[in-house]
Amino acid sequence: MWNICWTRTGTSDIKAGKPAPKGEERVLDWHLYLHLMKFPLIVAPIMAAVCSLLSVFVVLRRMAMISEAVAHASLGGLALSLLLGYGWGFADSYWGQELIAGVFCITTGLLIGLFSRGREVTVDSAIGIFLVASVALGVLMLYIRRDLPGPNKMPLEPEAVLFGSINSVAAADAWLISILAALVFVVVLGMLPSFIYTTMDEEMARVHGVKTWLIHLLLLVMVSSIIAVAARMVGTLMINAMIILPGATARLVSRRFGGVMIISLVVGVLGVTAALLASIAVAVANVPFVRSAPTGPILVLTLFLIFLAIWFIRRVRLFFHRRQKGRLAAAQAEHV
Amino acid sequence: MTDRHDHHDHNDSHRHEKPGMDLVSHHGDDDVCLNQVSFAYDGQFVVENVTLHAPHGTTLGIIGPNGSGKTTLLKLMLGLLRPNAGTITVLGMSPAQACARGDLVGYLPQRHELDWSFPISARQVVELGLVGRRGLLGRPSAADRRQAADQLAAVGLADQADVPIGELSGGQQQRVFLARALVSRPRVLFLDEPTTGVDVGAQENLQELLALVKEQLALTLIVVSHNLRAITSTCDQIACLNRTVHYHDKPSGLSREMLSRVFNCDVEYMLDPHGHERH
Repeated sequence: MWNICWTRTGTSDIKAGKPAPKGEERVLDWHLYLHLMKFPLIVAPIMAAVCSLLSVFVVLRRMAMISEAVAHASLGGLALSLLLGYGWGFADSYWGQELIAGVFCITTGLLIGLFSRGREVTVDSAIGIFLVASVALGVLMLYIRRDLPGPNKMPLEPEAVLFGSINSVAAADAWLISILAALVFVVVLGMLPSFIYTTMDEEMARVHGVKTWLIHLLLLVMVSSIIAVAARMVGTLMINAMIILPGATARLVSRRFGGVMIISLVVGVLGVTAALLASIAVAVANVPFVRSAPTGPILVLTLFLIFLAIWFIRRVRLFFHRRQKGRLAAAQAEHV
Repeated sequence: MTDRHDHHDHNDSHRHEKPGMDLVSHHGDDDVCLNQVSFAYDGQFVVENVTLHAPHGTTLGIIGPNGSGKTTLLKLMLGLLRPNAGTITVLGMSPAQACARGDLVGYLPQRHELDWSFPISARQVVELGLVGRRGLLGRPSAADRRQAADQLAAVGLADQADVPIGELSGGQQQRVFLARALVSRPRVLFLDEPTTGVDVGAQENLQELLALVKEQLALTLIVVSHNLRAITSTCDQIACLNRTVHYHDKPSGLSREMLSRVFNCDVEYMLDPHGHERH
């Protein structure tokens, strides 16, 4: 249980990590805190749900590295919008940043697909090339923008771009992620058999008349868009975990496609919500050293621990299953 | 199995409704026609000047050594690759058009080209064979599910319907994929090394099953294999391929000299020990 008392103290003091006045117990008004955190608490599960749905296809199609490159490209996209924002107000606005970062991510994803189509550049090389290029470009643009003279200062620090801040999401983020999530769910569930077939065996799907190029394009655009939007909240370094870990965990548990999808959604939504609540709890309870820790890493580590726990349980079960099988075989051999 | 004639008429009516079909190179009764087809990877020809035809209801076996262009030729016929020169027609259409219909072409690929841990059951695999026919937004109907279940039963795997594909034996997996290839009631079935990686008993079962469905569905079969013995005993026509076609006729006309030239080695071990009739 969290060590919290129900009296009144300023939430801003706690969030800022200020120590409690001497002789006074650190306490807060939970209602006020939850009111302040209502948008993160709405946005995080929605973001987790849409990432977990796409995660199944990303993992099964072995596209994890592509999403990694696109996630890093979001740094380049955000940096580009900030650099353009120096002289163009729209690029510095919320929608300007989302639009430019989204276009940058989608273009990177499509370029990886285009470069790896021929035989000259392999997929892994194309991913590696675009990953480092977009990070290098992003970091360069961020620092150029920061050091540009004049009153028009950069609205974000480079670290904020890397680690994100889910605690500071607002109504616009909630709307954007909700609309995007609804679109992704409609597209994926509406075309589910084609998505499954293309994921399982693209060549066979083509032979059976599935427009695999369209499915591939849709998946790339959806993953890139979600990464571009979500990267602002959990950071460009962390977003990829949300796209990979739920699907990878679900694959350990179920051998049915429907089962993998449901478990991925459950793991993603519950894991992210639990992580967010844990993050709030450590801030509220003023836990030393971690009270001001960013939510992104806590969220990723929660998903990682769930993955690790399920992997461990699976290995143990497999070990005992094999041992039992070995004993049965030995007993049968002895009997014969 | 449903009545083949009904289906045949249904397909024919669709075929003539389809706009933009190239019927010029569709020679009479031939379901599959290749005319002077060439294909190159990075400027190097893998398939060169290949002319083949498979009349309706026949089995065409394509044999050749490893790297002779067999699988490339199959991929050209399925529209997965585009030829650099020449024309290919499947049921009077381009291969891409024939495949886009979703119910004219069946394909049984090589066994090892799949992630066997993919989370999907045998029944779901067979149902995927109907996805193209339903269109991008189509959902499987009750009739589709019944058709898939019937097809799975027809290959003798009704009791394994809910088993994950990776947990079936090699022979059972091939039968599931055969059911997927046949569930849309195609008119032409392409098979790429259908018995590779399958034990001897399962190979015989598969051959018997293929002969049965061919008769029931009046299928045209195109079989690619390096298994000379299996192909010569089951095919109406044989094409010996080693970049280009060296022989294309009935199996009875195939000589050891021809095979030695195509395979570039002694072919004694490929034929049965008492195969004097091959001379």
